[in-house]
Amino acid sequence: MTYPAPLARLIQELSKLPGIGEKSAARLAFHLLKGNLDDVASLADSIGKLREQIGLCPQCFGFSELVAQNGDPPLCSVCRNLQREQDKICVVEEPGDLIAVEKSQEFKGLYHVLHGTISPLDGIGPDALRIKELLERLRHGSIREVIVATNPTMDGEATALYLSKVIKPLGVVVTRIARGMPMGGDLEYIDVVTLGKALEGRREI
Amino acid sequence: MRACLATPAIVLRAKPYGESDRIVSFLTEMHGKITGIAKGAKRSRKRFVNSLEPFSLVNLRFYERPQGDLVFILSSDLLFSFPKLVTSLDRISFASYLVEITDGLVGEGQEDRLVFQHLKNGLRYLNETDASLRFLTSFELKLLNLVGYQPVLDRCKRCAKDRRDHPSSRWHFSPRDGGILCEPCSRLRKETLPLGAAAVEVLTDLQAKDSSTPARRSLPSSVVSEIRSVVMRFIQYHMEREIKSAPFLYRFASI
Repeated sequence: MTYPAPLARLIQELSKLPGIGEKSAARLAFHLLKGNLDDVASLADSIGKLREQIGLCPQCFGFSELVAQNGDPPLCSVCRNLQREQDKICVVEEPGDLIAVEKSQEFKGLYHVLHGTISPLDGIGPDALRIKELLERLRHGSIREVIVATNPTMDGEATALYLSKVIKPLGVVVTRIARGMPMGGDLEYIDVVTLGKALEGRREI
Repeated sequence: MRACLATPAIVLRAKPYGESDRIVSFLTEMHGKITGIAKGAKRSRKRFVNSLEPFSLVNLRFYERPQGDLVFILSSDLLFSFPKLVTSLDRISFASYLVEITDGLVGEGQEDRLVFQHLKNGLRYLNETDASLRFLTSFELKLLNLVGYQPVLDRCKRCAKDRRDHPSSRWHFSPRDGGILCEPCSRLRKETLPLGAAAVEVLTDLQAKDSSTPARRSLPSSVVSEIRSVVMRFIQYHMEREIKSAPFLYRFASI
């Protein structure tokens, strides 16, 4: 049996989402069909407005609401918040990484999102990232420390090394997030690279 | 039942696929170059942890699927990560270049243990020693030799004029012909690169010797420039595409 046209269209659209196959898409579509009409309308409204109202913050390039706040440029809530430490910037690869660091509630400074990493094998150089904008911020601001929180991959390390090379001459301290044992981990089951990094980065207690 | 295959392998490249999978290319010791899908690789804490990063030497377990070109990767255990390769932009650039040209010159499934050993030795050398132009060119020439594209440097590839009989002649390199051409023969070809007698001499020397042999003398920059231009163009000709990591060598590595 074939699905009625509107249902088939929704299943087709949902199955384009990451991690959603056709079966999952059909299950979600049936759920929406049986659900409360107001909830469905609210979901449709949220999806419709998502791209209209969310853009990139012109300062940190994280996600930001595009509606200007009190006539100010549409900076994101982090950049607008003057209570945060204005002399520290945490550099991350993608907007999702900013949200992950923010959830830790350990960092109270500002952010800068690069939108990618340097990748020699893919031919992605520093010019393809938001590094120029970061350097502009450092030249015109009062930043004293840049914390590089790129992933511990080959590309992430290449990006961190490059940032260190271009930022240090500006007199700004460059630090790298630590690598090692996860909380609740078990030494016996930790891979050798992670364990090696944990020992390398040990500190006095 | 499908047979599980196991082999030492070097990770050439890995890219995300879907939510948590990765498509990974390996140069294996026993099955040549293979590309496969590592299901759940992004979240895996057992089967793939820290072992799908480029340059890693791993023990790979996989099976071939009846349909499609991709093998199914069961697990990848790290044997050696060449940790110093990611400690400087210089080393990352060199290692990326070695991996990319090997990937580009070797076809899928062509078993060749010597190519595997060559790349492994190259990465090990870079991990332990500062790279040089001599090392790089020697690696390239030996790789070209191993994959069957050894350039002819002792005589004109078209008329067979012996180079030793004309030591001061100006030569040209033709990527299409796969060797040097004398002045008259080079006029018959459109895409040739100039190659002075000194540069041909150095290339011949490097072709014959091991990269660890110390250089006899430092080379003038014009000779270095000719050598780099010829070797890279020849490799690109056979790869049939640009070498993406090449600009990084000039930007970050001291060659």
